Formats: sequence, structure tokens, C-alpha cells
Amino acid sequence: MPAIHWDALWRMAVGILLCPLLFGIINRVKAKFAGRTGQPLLQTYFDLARLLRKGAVYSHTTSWVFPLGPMLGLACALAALCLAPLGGQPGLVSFEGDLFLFAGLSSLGRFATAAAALDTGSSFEGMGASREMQFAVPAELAQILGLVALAQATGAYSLAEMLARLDLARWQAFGPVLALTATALFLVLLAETCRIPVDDPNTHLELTMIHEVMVLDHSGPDFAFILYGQGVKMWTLCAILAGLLVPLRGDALAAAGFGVLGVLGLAVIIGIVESSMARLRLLLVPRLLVGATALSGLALILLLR
Amino acid sequence: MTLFAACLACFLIGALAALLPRSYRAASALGAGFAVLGCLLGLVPAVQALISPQDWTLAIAWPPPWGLGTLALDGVSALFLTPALVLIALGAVYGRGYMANMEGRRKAGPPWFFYNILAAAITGVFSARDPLLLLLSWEAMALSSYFLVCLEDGDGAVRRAGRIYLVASHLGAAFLLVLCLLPGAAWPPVAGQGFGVPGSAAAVFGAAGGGAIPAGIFFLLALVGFGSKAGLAPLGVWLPEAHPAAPSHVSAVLSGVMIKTGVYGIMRVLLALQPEPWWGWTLIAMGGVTAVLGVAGALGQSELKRLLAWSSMENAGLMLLGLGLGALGRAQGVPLVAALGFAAALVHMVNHGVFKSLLFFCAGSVLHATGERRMDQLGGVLGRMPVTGGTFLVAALGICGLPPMGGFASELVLGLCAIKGLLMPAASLDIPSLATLAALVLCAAMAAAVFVGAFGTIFLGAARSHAVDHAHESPASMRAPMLILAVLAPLLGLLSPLLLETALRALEPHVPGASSLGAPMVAALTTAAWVFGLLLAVLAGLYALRRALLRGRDVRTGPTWDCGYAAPTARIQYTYSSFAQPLAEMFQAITGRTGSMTRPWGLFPARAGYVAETEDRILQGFLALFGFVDAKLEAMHRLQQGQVHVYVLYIAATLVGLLAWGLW
Repeated sequence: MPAIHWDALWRMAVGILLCPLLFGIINRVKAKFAGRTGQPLLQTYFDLARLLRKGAVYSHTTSWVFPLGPMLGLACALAALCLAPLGGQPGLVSFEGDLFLFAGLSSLGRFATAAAALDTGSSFEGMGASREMQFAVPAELAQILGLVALAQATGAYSLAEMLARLDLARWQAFGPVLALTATALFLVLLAETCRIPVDDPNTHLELTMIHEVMVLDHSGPDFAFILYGQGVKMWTLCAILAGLLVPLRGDALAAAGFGVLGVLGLAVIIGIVESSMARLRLLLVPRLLVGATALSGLALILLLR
Repeated sequence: MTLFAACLACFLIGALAALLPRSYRAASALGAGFAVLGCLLGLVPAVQALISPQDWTLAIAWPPPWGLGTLALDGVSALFLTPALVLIALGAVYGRGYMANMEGRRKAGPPWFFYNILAAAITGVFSARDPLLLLLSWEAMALSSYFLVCLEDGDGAVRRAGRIYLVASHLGAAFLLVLCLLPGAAWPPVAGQGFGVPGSAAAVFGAAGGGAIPAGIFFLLALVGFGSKAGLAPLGVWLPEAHPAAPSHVSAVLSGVMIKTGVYGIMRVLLALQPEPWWGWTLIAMGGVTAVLGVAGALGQSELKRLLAWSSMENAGLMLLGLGLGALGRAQGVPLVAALGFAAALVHMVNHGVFKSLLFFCAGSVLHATGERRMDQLGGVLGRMPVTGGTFLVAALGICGLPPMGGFASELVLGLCAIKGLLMPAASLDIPSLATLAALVLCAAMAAAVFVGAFGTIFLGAARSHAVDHAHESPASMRAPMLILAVLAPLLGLLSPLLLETALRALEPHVPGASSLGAPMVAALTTAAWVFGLLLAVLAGLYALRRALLRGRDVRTGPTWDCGYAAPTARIQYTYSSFAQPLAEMFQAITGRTGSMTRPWGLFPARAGYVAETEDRILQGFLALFGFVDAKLEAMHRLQQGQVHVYVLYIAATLVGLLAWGLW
């Protein structure tokens, strides 16, 4: 039986409860920029409740792989949440090399979603799956290299330990490296959560979509799982990035508070990014992500002795 | 020891027994039965050697000209031998079902003769303690597998593949011949070989040759000789040709077991001699190139078995990366990195054997049912072949290194080894560790794209051609081995701490303190396995929740959403070629042309299409090289006059020349 941080349960509960709020914050920021009132902050909660009450429609061509996609996607997101520290406080479990498991879980979720998309036999969903798997290659490389740079800057092997050791003193010592890593991880965050400039969650033209087009055929509770899984994933990635960007620690409660504020702040920043720029041309997206990989690599090179 | 001897005897008897009966069924039952029995007999001593060191040696008294041959099992041998025997036994069971439909077309005796010889030879390679016996087993393995690859020799492409394999394996064997026949050669090699061995060539020429043969020579010979069998770029050119050509159960043994003999050989040399840092650098450079080239090549193959063969190259590259880090760790005196690097290679070897054999079994099952090799012509097979589809999914998750399969555990060990190397005070480990890490992550992400594409195209969606219409699930003798391996793949993930512990224990004699150094890693894997359990529990919970939510609700079926177009056809689906094309083009610079495109052309364009078929640049390079050498050697023909008096003149001229040199 491994060491389990039982006190992480309430931090996980915060994430599980608050993650749909992130979409509300992003939408509210975008509305403010556009001079609109915008939808209610809690809109995603209403959407989830509505979807969970519905029935479902399945395509003739689908098999058991199709409903497996959303379930496995959400299960992976929740398992990844168990690993993610919040405000430098450890997640439910942490061990040496858990960053690989973290990336592996998100990769498994992506595999399941793409397989479910291919199961519909739709050309659009095949296209989305193809793009998603293509963009995942540089994104995953950027993410892992970035986290490894973090490991090297802090001399720790687990996510929790890395972020716990990050404080103002370390930012002063390794400022450029940490800034490069944070930029790379932010780009990965945008790509993994399908935000502008990589993907536009509000688009309604199948040809331009990436993630949304993969889940066109899901409905009812399945789609609720997908939507909620996206929220959990965004929360998890934001929590790690916030732990890096907000090196304020304190006692358990204060640190977690700073963590939550950091996550909500990142949602505001995502909203600002979405309001201030357009989606990139699809052919440019790989370049952006390869750029993120290059930033992570540069951070690692700066750390070489 | 008795059981081990019985295992070898069983293979040899089986080989001969399969040739005797006239009836097809009796021959295949005898051949497969003896192979399975031999494997079961061999598994007992192999597992015993895994648990505790064994001190027996099996000496075979050969007639005088060859001297004595000795066989023994230590931890490393046993770790290679155990999965090999399991896979060979399952391959035999599968092969009997797979070849059942060849009754009347060809004889069952010869394939089963060679299969049993191959089993004995592989067992011999893993347990030989004598250079000559190693060489004999190696050649027996190469030849018997050549005949198995060429089983369908009516097909010209198969004959061509077989020829490439035969040439490549003999070029590799030439280097091993030198390695095994060097003065005072021993297997596993010993340091300072050839120095002061009385009567040896080195002692005779000692004054001129400068004493001991440098250990680096041994390493290079082993790297080329064994590396060509392991599929190491650029030596493994035969791999993408031979594996698709062989019958599927043989492909499974070639990919799952035989390429590991190459890894085994290199590992033995690294463990027996004291490596120098450049060995590690060479291994990491070649391993990284092999891995990335392998997965990029796999991306551009629209034939499933070719894709799997390229992916074997990728995985061999990953094992080589582990060996490289291990060698560097030994060379730099960092036992932690040495233990983890070698252990990563061992753990990945076991895992890759399981899921790659399973993938080849599934590919064979699909081929058996549909007769179609091109993935772009398949689709929706899952509904007709649920067992094949389900087991393929398990194996695909494994080979992409995704939790909760064993493949994830081995990639975790390799990744952690690289991070430990990076964070070590020894600065010279930095760049190799980073290179390993980058290659590993790149390969894992690209493998995910490859295998989700392959699984989706073959098993999901709607059927793209009539080949699928009459598809049926394979017979039980083919399904059973697939199901066993499909259970093993996640089991190896959940039990990965145990496997790592076994690997570390096997390394203990070579890397002192390996077990205690690796203990934190075992703990890490235990925690990871715990998260796997959590993941499965959450999945089960969500399944129950979804069932409860949908009970009694309006659940309907309808057409797939296609932008409002309600009559989609199977032809508008994404094929594997179109799925992989964007990613494959990102790597065009290293792989070369990724496919053949027919563009819509003219005022009234009619046909357009795209088929992924990445060219094999290495093979073409070798063919060009051989052509060049051939052309240059052509010039020597002028010396070869075919007239006796000219040759007498040559002799006289040589004598005069030597005389002049002597008088000088």
C-alpha cells in the first residue's frame, strides 16, 4: 500500500466542484471584452445537469468502443487529478516519475476519444481524430520536457515535490528557465484544452474544428462526461501551471487558497487570450506547438552544466 | 538441468517427428504438440533460475573437432528465455489453427520441423556458454527462420523478402563469426581476451599486434553482428521485409522473441566487459535513430503487418536506449543509472514480446478472415470479430505505452532512468539522458497516433470493401493464445513492480547492489499500479452511473452526423492513409516520400487518391551501396584472365617482388 495523502481529498473535492466554473469565467471575460453581458457564470453546471437528464442517440455504425470513449476520458481526467498538486500541496498520490503517469493518462484519454470518433465512420470525426493525434505529438513532448526542466531546476522527481520546492527564492535563482517552462506549459494548456489559438470551442464549422468535431455524435450523459472531463482536465493542467506561476506558499489552507486563485486567474488569462486573438491557421498549429517544445528544450539546455 | 535437457530433446524429437506422418493433421499435431511440451518443460528451470540462481551447467560432449559445448541459465538468460518459451508455445498453438486451411496445398512436416528447430536454437542462443555453441545456435536460428519466412514461397514478394533476410542475417553473422573465433574467445566475453593465451594467434603475433585485443573491437563486432538481428538502423533492413512476409505465428515469434536475441547479445557484452563511455553514446545515438525512424516508418505503412514490423524496429530502438544508458552508467561509475537502464531494457523486452506477438496474432486473424492486408480496405471488423478486435485494442494500448498496460511500466522505468541520469552530479550523463527522454516521448506519442489509426481503420466504422462481408471470428485454437496474451498485457502492468524486481535481481551479479538501488523505483511502480487500479475502479463506477442514468430513458439509433447529410457511405470515411498523412509529412525529412498521391487533375477531374507507403530509404541505400561495390570490383576482372600462363606470371612477379623486398 503506497503512501496516500488523505488530506488531498478535500483539495480534489474543490477541483471536482469548481472545474465547470472555469468555462463560465472564460466566457464572462470574453463577454466583457466584447461588451456583452454574457451567459451566467454557472452555465456549464446547468448544461451538465440538462445533459445528465437526457436520453441518448447512437449511430448505427458504432460499437462498444463509442460509449467507452467518454467514460475512459473522464476516468483518466479524474485519475490525473489524483496526481496533480494544488498550490504546492501534493495530490492524493505522488511518486518518483509521476509526471510520466500524468502524461500517460492524458494520452490514454485522447486515445479513447479518438477511437470513439473513428467508430462513427464520419469523415469529419476522422479528420478531428487525425488532427488531435497529430497535435498531441509536439504537445506531449513540450509538456514532458517542460516538466523535466522543472524537475532539474528543483532537483525533485515527483510533481508534488517539484512544486513544493518552488518558492520565490527559486524563481530568483532560475527565473529565465522557469519563465520559459511556464510559457511552454501555457501553450500546452491551450492546446490540450482546445482553446484559441489552437482550436476554437465556439466554432460551428466542422471543417475547422479539432476536439469538438470528434465528439459530434455523442449525446446525453455521454456528452456530459466529455464536457465534465474537459473541465477536470483544464483544472488539473491549470493547477500545475498555477503552482509554478504563483510561488506563494504557506500553511496547507493558505497554499491551497493561492492555488485556487491561481487557477481562476489562469482562466481569466485564457479568456483574455481568446478575446484578443484569432484562431491560427491549421497548418500553423504544429509550428506553435513545436515552438513550445523548443522553449522547453531551451529551458533544459540552460540548465545543462 | 534434467528438465532443461528434456526441453531441448523435446524440440529436436518434435522436429523429426513432424516429418514422419503422411497425414497433414497428424504432422501438425505432433509438431505443435512437441513444441508446446518442450516449452513447458523448459519453463520450469527458467522460472527457477529467475527466482534463485542455479548452479548447474549442461555440458554436451561433441565429437572432438568441435570440443565441448556448455549450456547454463543465469538470471539474465532466464529472463529472456521465460517469455520466449511462453510465446513460442502460444505461437505453436496459434500456428496449428492458422495453417489448418493449408491442408492439401502443402505439407505440414517442413514448417513444423523448422519451427521446432527455431525453438531449440533460440533456447540455445539464450543459454549457450561457449562461443562455438552460440554460433551454431545462431546459424540454426537464422536458417530455420529463413525457411519459415519463405513458407508461402509461391509469392514473388515473399521470396524477395526471404532473400533480403538471408543476406542480411549472414552479413551480421560474419561479424559474429569473427567475435566468436577471435583468439581465446569466450562467451560471454572476458576482459583482456587474447592476451597471453598460449598458442593463440594473438600470442604468436603478440609482438606485432600489441597484445590484448581492445575491448572496443568486441563491442563493435557485437554491435554489428547482434544489432543486425535486433533491427538496429541501418543494419535491420531485413526486418520490415521479412516480418510481413512470414506466416503470422512466425512473425509473432520473429518479432516477439527473435529480435530479442540481438538485444541479448549486446547486453551480454555490455555486462561482461567494462564499457567505455563511447559505447553508451553509440548505443544511444543508434537506438534513438532506430526508434524514431521505426515509428515514423510505421506511420507511413498502410499494410498492417508492415506497420507492425516497423514498430518492432521502434521498440528495439527503445531497448537499445536502455542498454545505452546502462552502459554509460557502468562506464561512468553510476550504478543507479546502470541498474535502471539495463532493467528498463529487460522489462521492455518482456512487455514488447507480449503485446507485439499479440498484435501479430490479431493481424494474422484479420488476414485469415478477410484475406486483405491493406488496412484502407477494411473497417467495422470489430462487430464480426469481437475477440480479435478486443485483444487488438489491449495490445495497441500496450504498445503505445499507455496505462494500465505493461508497456507503460517499461517506458516509466526508462524515462525515470533518464531523469535520474539528468539529475546526477556526473555531468557527462546529461546529453545522453536528454536524448533518450526526447526519443522516448516522441515515440510514445507517435505510436499512439499510429495505433489509434490502425485500430480505428480496421475495426471501427463501416466496412470499406466486400472483403469484410464474410469475415468470421477465428477458430478457438487461434483465439485462445490471443486471449491469454490479452490477459497478460494488463497483468504485467499491475504486476510491474514484481517484474522490475526480478529484472534487478537478475542484474545483481553484474551490477552489484542493483536490487537495493532500484528499490525506490519498485515502490514508484507499486504506487503507479495502485493508480491503475483506481483508474479501473473509476471507469467501473462511471459505467454503472451511465447505465443507471440511461435506464428507462429514450435511447435511439440513427445515422452518423455528417454535416446534415443523412446518407453517408463507407467510402467517405477517413482511411489509415489519410489519418496518418499530416503527421507523416512532419517527418518527411527523415523518412522520405510518405505516400503516393493521385491529385484531381484536369477540367473534369475523375479519380483522386492517396495511399501511405513510406519508402525504405535504408534498404535502397544498401542496394545502391552493393551496386557500387559490385561495379568497382568489376574492374578487378581484368586481372582474372583465365589463362594459366598469366597466373604463372603473377606468381613469378610476386616472388620477385618478395625477393626484392627481402634483399632490401
